[in-house]
Parts: sequence; C-alpha cells; structure tokens
Amino acid sequence: MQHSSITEAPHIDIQDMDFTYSARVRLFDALRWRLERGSITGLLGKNGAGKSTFLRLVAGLLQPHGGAIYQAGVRPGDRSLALLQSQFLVPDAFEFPARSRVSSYVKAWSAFYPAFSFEKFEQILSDFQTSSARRFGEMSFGQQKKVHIAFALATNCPLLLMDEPTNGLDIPSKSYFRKILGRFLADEQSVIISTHQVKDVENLIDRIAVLEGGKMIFDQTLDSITQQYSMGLSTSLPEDALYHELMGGGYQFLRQRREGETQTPMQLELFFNAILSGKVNLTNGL
Amino acid sequence: MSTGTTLQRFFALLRFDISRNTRAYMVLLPGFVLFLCVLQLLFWFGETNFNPVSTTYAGTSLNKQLYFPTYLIGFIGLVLFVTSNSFSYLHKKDLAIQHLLLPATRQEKFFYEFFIRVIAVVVVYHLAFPLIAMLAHALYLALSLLLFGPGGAAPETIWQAFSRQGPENEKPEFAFILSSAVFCLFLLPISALFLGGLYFKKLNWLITYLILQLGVILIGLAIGSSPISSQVFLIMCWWPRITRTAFWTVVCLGCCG
Repeated sequence: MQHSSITEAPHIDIQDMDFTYSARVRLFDALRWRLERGSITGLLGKNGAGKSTFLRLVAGLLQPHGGAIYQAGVRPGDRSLALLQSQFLVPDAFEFPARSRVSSYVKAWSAFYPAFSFEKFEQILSDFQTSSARRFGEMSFGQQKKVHIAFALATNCPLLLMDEPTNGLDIPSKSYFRKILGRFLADEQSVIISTHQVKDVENLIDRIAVLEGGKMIFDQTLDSITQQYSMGLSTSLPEDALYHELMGGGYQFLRQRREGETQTPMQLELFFNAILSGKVNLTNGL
Repeated sequence: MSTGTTLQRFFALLRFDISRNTRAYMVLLPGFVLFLCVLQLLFWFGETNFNPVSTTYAGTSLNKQLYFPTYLIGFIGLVLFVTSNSFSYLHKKDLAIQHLLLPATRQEKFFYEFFIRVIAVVVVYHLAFPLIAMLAHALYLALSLLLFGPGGAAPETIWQAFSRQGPENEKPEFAFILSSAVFCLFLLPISALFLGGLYFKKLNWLITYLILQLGVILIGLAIGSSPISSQVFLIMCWWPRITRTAFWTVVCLGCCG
C-alpha cells in the first residue's frame, strides 16, 4: 500500500521484494528492509549477493517481480521527476565523453539537479586534488570516479546510492573519500554504499546491512553492535569468543560484551565475516 | 530548476546531448557534407565530355535531375542513420543508467529525442542541402579548371536549376514533392513506433500498430460521417495499407541493416 504522506514515510521501505534474472536463479526472495532518513549505510555482501541489483531496484532502474519498493513513499520504478531529482546513483562503471572538459560537462549535467552547488563541487574536487579544467580523456578511471563522487555530493540529493565507490581510488583517495563524505553530507541525507571492500567504509558508515541468500540477513547501527559485542586482539583465545580469526601474533576475536565493559571499536571486516559464518545472533540484527 | 518549465529542461537536454556528443557531431557533420559533395561531383563529372581541347558539360538539361539523386540519397541515408539510432544509449548499460536516471520526464526525453532525430534532421538537411550543392558547384568549377583548364562549361547552380520555368521542369518537381510525401509517411510510423517503444513495456510494436490502425479508422469514420466529400474518406481508407507497407519497409530495412 502506498504511504499517505511522503514526509512521514521511511526513506526506503521494501516489502517482500522478489527479483530474478532467470527462472532458475532467484536473486531476492521476499526481501524486507526499511531505512530511515539520515544514515550512511554500508550494504555488504559477498560477490554475486546482488548488491548492485539491489541499488538499481531502489533507484528504479529495475522493477521488482514481486512485492514493492517505496522511496519516500513513492515507487521508484515510475521514475517520476520528483524522485529522479531526489536521488543520485554512482554506478560501479560509467562512461564520460573523452573530449569533454569536466567543467562544461558538469555545467550541462547539473542543470537537471535543482539543489546543485558548483562551489561544493569545486571544493570536493580540490580536496581530491583534481581539476575541473581537464578533459575526461586525460583522466584515469579513478580520477573520473572522483568527479562522479564530487558531482553526486554536489547535487545535494536526499538519497545517494553508491555502488563500489572506492573501486579505482588510490589509498590516499580512499581516505579523502571517507573525510569528504563525513564533511559534506547534511544530516537529513541518506547514503547507501555498496561494497565488498569492507575496510574502505570503516569509520564512515553508521549502519550495516548484509545481503545474503536473497535476503537482508542483518541490519543494525554500529552503535547497537558495539553495545552488544566486543571485538579485540588477544594472544590467547577468550573462552567466550563467538568468532575468531588467527592473526600473526594471536587471535582477533568477537564475543558478547560483558556487563560494565567499555565499548570496543568496531572491526567491520571481522564482524562481517562473523555474520557470514553464522556466529552472530541474527535475530538481534533484524 | 526544480520548478523549471518543460521547455527549460528540454533545452537542458539539448545542451547535455551536445556536451556528450560533441565529438560525434564534429566528425559526422563534415563527413556527411564531404560525402554529398563527392557524390554530386561524381554525378556531374559523369555528365562531362572529356575532350582534350575543350571540356563541355553535356548535362545542362539534366541539371535538376542531377541535384535530385544527391538530395534523395543524402536524405534517405541521413534519416535512416539518425532515426534508427534513436535511444541508442539504452543499448549501453553505463549510458542507459545515466539517461534513465536523468531528472526529466518521459515526455521531455521523448520529445528531445524526436526533435534531434526527426525534426532537426529534416529541417537542418533542407537548410544545408543548398549550401552543400553550392559548395559542390564551386568544387566542380575549381576541379574542372585544374584538370582541364579554362573554357569548360559549368552546370547550373541549384538556384538556377530550380528557378527555371518550363514544361521540362515539371517532372522532377513532381518527383520532389512525391518523395517528400513518401518520407512523411516513413517518418510518421517510425516516430509513432519509437513513442510506443517508450510507453509500452511489452509487445510495444504490436500495441502501437493497433493504436495507429484504430486512430486511422476513427479519423476515417469521423470524416466519413461528416459532410466532407466522400473522396476524402476514400483517401483515408488507404492509410492503413500505406502505414502497413511503410511499417514492413522499415522492418525490412532494419533487418537488412
């Protein structure tokens, strides 16, 4: 049922969504998920879990075969003007015209986004140490990706969808990416970052959602995770460890947080692996 | 431009198209002009008597007919190439994502495509063809002077050829009008079919065709039941056949392509 009020509706509401590319492979099966406004969500999953397809469904590029998706109360599949102006997708692969200058191309492209800020765009590009005076043909894929990310942030769209945004970025740029996203996002903006490079979004996201087996098997804020679990490094394996990984000099472990124990920093990769191993109580997650 | 008018976004789409395809336009347009010039020169030089003493142009009475094939070949080639590439970005995943998520309505995206692929092509071609013919004429004069020296006869310019009066000109003028009419009937189903392709997700060609047929029948009935002469109604009755013929011609050309 369509929500009566767009403003009261959750930013994304997915109800029993089914999706399949072929009759034999069912990618999503009665998937349910809700996203409230103003969070940076890391959409995690193994290769082939359907992260990119999920983002395309949310953006309205694909239509679910069963169930429904609502973005701010409206179906994204209709691709209404208001919806298109309120979201921006940074795809994994894209193509810019090699002969065009960044500045002239962005000028033509930005005309479609009512809240676009050229000042913000130039600032982000400068933080990324890239210039808008260059032609796309003179830029590497990573540099073009920086332009795409800068453009996405400068649109000021309430919903940003980023598919593997750190792919192609060098190590300093990955760090800049985290800083820039933290600095230029407004409180009411929501971001979904799909990635399988969990380390790249550490210290950036405030919520994680894990796609596995056609369902969203885990969805929690980082704060609630660190309230429930402790993660650390030890030379000996704690008896109550739920999950552990052998490190060079000991064990990286995950266990239930004890009463009165201080919260430990989130170790995203360890936690993600623990979820996939089935060692984390998923009923806490969803 | 959140509350911007449709016209503003339409022009924004045009600007965006130009910024995306600048290179293609810069290569294709001069290439096309060059192709037509060479074609026209081939026709003219084919009508030239290569006499070592004095070069004479033998096709003076055929001037208009010699302009006409170039005009027709250019028009057919351009329309087929440009119109058949409508919505070509949908075949490339990366470009399709960008265009489908571009904040403009379906109508705006369609009319921009229709404008670029149909209206602009027809208008620009008809404005450009006399200039191309003049360029070809100048090239003919220069080349014949270079190859055969002074004293050769030149073909008429396009303005002279089409402003000359007399019974000998009636036939090519009629062919000119007829070909325009045929192309209108070509463009109409093509335009309608890509509009249908945009709106109907499944069996778009069949649904569009049925709607076209229904529309033609309704218009025919409306005219037939009105006091307008029955001759008009009879002409309208022929439309479905012409539409069907034009449709299958387009399908055949598409398959050949």
